[in-house]
Amino acid sequence: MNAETVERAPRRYGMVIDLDRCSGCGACMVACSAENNVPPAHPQATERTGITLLRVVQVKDAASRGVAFIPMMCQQCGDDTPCMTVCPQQAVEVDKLTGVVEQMPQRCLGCRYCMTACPFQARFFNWWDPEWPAGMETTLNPGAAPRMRGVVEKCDFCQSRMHAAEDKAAMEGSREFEYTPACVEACPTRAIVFGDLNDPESDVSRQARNSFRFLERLGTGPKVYYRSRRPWLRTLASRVGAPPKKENGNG
Amino acid sequence: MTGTRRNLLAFGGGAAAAVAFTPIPWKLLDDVSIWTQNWSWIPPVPRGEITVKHSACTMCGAGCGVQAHCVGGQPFGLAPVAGHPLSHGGLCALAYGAHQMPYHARRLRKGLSRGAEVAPDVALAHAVEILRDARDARRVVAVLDERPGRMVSAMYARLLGGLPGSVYLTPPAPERATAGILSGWAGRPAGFDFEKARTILSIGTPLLDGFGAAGALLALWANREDRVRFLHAEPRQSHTAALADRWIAIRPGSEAAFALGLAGVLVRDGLAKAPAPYGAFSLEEAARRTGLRPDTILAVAHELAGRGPALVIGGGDPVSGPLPRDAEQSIAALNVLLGSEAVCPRHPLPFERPATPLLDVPDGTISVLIADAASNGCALPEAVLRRKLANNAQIIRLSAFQTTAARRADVVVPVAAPSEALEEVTAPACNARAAWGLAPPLVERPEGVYTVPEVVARLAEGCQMPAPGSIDEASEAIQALGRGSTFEFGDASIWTDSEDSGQLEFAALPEIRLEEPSLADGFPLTLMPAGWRGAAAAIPLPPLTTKLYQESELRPGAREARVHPATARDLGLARQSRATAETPYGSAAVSLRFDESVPPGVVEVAAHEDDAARVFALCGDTCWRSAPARLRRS
Repeated sequence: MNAETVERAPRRYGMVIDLDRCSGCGACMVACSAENNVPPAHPQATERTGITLLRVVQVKDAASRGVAFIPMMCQQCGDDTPCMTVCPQQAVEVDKLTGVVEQMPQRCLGCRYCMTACPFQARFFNWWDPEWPAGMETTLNPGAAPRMRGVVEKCDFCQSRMHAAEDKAAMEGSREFEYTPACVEACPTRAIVFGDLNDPESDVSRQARNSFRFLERLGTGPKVYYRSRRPWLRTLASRVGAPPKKENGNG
Repeated sequence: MTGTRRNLLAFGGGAAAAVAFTPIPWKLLDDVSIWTQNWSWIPPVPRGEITVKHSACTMCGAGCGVQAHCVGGQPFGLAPVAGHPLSHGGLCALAYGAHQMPYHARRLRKGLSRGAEVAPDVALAHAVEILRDARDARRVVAVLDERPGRMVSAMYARLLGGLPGSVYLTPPAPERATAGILSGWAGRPAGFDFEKARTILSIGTPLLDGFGAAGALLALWANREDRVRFLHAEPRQSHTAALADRWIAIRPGSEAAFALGLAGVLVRDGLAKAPAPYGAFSLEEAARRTGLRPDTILAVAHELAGRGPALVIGGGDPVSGPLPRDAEQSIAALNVLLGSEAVCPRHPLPFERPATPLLDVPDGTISVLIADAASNGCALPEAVLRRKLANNAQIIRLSAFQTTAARRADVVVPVAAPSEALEEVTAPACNARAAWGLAPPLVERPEGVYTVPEVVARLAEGCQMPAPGSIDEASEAIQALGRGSTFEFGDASIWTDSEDSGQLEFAALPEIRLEEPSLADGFPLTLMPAGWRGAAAAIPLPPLTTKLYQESELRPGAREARVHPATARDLGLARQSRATAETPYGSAAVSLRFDESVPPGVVEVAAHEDDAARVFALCGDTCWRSAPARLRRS
């Protein structure tokens, strides 16, 4: 580093989602789709074939009759990122400067290995060409190119917003910038906190200390953390996808 | 190396094999991938200067503030406005797709005359002709306004002033129900100050899922800690039931019995702050009707009395309609008995006109109905509306969309879609403080399409009546009040009235008698329409909300019926099988889903957009909250 160049400290963007504040209103899902130019559902699309880069899932606990809404998006795995490992096209990369798992649809061949590898089912395949009703294409976000049929996409923490914030800061002669993903901005209960996990003073770092992650046992180092005072949700987070326990050897 | 044929072939073969180890094939693959993603049918994104405009969402009557991020003047995304006095920095799912409504596939840019497309001015001329004929024949003309209280509502009222026997109507809306009854008993407008309440009980009303402005109540809920407790009574475990601190699972149709049971406890235990004739309604009777244990009702009543100020909110559901009158009266009476400080007097807006509730109008009396274009996000079944119409009645609709209701109207005058014209926003009717603001347009409206004030003015002019005024009068009237405060955000603003310092005094509470619920032979189940605010409203849902009901299971989609697994087991029905729901009024094919949050014995059928009419038809033409039903395998 010399006097003319300033290295930017690498960030590690992450989220903390307070499940006790999520009301399941779905505002984040719609705001996310508008931000990322995800088209309205194809007439044949279902919950299995549709594209929801962020999906709010309703879960129930029979014992306590409790209900919770869990916003699920790409968990931005930081260690041995499964989707990146299996991609034959190098279409998935972890950005060293932000820690964000980036998907490059231009490189994607549509093999869907990454979808199989993703333990969170947070990747979506474009089964159809993106279509908007006539005239609605004028409402597309200039920061996000629509993806074509045959490629996989996923949440990237609204990289288009990050680039816009970065550009704006650069125009002002600064390298410091902050941005807010669309879902964080949309949440009416402020259930989602976003920021740099490398900054120990940030809200996201502070809240992440007393939180849990889904499928932590897989060791993929997700950067999306969850909080709840309800013990059954912590249990659920650790047990999702786990093989059923044998009960007292009775079979 | 000599230039032999053998060497040439060896060089060619070696070069071909080596290409695989160079970046060339990968580069080609990349280029092909990029090239195939630039087909002409993949829309290019717009380019231009990025700016921000400010306005308000008009998808329902909540009046939430929005900031629109625009490229080249065209909005591409909406965001909430921090500190907005109505929306408190929050927006609902509908609002985030509101900027796309002008380009909705059902957008109406031409008029409709008996279902056929006509030029907008021809449709308007037809509407003028119908109105003129009705005036000359002294037939009853009615205006149906889903968002009363605006200046344009006053313009409608002035138009009707020139038509003898005319009536200005408003359909049921959850926000107006309890506050409306309390206003009637107090003889002056009443509202709720949710911030003052420490206990809030909602009965059959999704308070945390589309009641008033989404941001306001959800912010209160999310930041409640130990300050406020939310209690919710409803048969099904709806979103509000799931979020409430306590869900009280009452039987379908027992809302009145539950409220009277609570009132009875308050009176008998000396906790009531007003005299009331409900002491005779026993706890055991309430328990029998609601299916609750007596001690549950007792505990809720004592919590309301002991943890005040308490509010009890009714009004019903935006999709499955209002609660019966006895239930609404019982709920309103609870507020009087609790003497809550959170029930406050409210200054009306200076141009606010009283409206007649649609359900109070005698059947078969309206000859010409003018339906305003504004939506409050609630369902109003066509059959319920038609019941109020006389034989050969005519319907004039102002609409920006070709909905089922529009197709059935005699004339449809095309008007501006949300965010295409200057519109008024007001506070929800339940708010303790009135508010009024203007929502500037975000996009230009198409040529030929009218604004609502233009249509009202042209109707008056066509009937040689005095001009009904303009919405500019509203700002002058508000300025003349000389009170309240204005919140400015960008190029928009909203005025909020100051608190009314008076006290509410209520008339003697009425006696409420409950009838035994009637059972229909051969229909052992209860069918309940279900949905969410906007799903069965006068305007269609924004296209991106398909993410919620089609591409995920967050909200129910069309033709979906949910039953408790035990109910399905008793009937021998399998998960995701096809079935036919039958009621005394008709039958409909449904796709079954099992859901343990639906009480046993109940079939929850999604009322969704065009399919909603089919579902409401199963409930008859007087009430669309529930109906006796049975299910059989298709």
